[in-house]
Amino acid sequence: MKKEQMILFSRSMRTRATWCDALLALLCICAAVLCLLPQWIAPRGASITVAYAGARANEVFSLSENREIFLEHNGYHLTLIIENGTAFVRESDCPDRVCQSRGEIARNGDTIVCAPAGISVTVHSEEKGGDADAIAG
Amino acid sequence: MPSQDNIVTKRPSGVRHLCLCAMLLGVALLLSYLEHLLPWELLLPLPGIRPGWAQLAVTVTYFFVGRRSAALLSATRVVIMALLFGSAMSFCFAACGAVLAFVGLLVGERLHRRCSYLGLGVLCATLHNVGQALAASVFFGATVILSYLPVLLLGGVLTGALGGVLLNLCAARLARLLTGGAKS
Repeated sequence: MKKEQMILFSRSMRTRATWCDALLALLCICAAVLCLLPQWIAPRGASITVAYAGARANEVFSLSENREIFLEHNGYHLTLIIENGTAFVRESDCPDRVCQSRGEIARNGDTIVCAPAGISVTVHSEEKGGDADAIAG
Repeated sequence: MPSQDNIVTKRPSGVRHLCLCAMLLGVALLLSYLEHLLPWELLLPLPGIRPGWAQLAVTVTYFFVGRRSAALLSATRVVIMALLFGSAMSFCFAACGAVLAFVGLLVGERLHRRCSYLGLGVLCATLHNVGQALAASVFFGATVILSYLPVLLLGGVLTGALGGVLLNLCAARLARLLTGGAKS
């Protein structure tokens, strides 16, 4: 009978906040800060690589030259701006606009991802192949 | 036996169980759709952060209906949302997030004597976001994880805590409503 009752009754969580809740939240915040550290100390990048999910070749652009780049993939269009050593997506017709809200990227390793379009923009510390027409492959 | 703060509920069975699952799936889909409609990039300054309302429906199903039903509800919701509004890539992102969020529920249940829904919400939301970052790293390379993870973790704490507080406040009533009787 006791065993049957144990099966019938589900275990539920507590309904008052406990120290364990605070500890879990604190652990996650600490993990976030730890992940942020390499970004804070990373040097400013010199170029960006535009990568496309799939077989299309990557493109490399220098961050030293201000320019407006129009990207198109999977039927979505992005306007990427390079300005004063930073890059950001000014306009996108993707449904979630996460790429647009990512803001400016400038440090080595910083990335903008547009999942619906299948495009990622990553900052590199070195010029990987020169200017706009260079294809990294 | 559960402590005084825990809610003891009797799991529904038969037609009642089926109806509850269908209703909760409808709620989960509706909440997902609402999330899809609202311009979160204007409301939250963190990129890619959503409140994760559908996870609340999965959590309620997990604790007041059953584990299997919650897993099935989560999987069905991901598939339907991908078919209606997403793509193959968004399905992969959502599926990875949903799997890790469910792992969060399994781990959180083990901590039921020490944690409330607040801690569970934080755990599930952060794991969901980690799952999405992992999926992104498969498509776009490993650097994406480090670039997006801090924001996703902080967003997970924020949205998970909000959802958890909501569940802490509503759990007793939900238990009564869904299972037809509970003591708190």
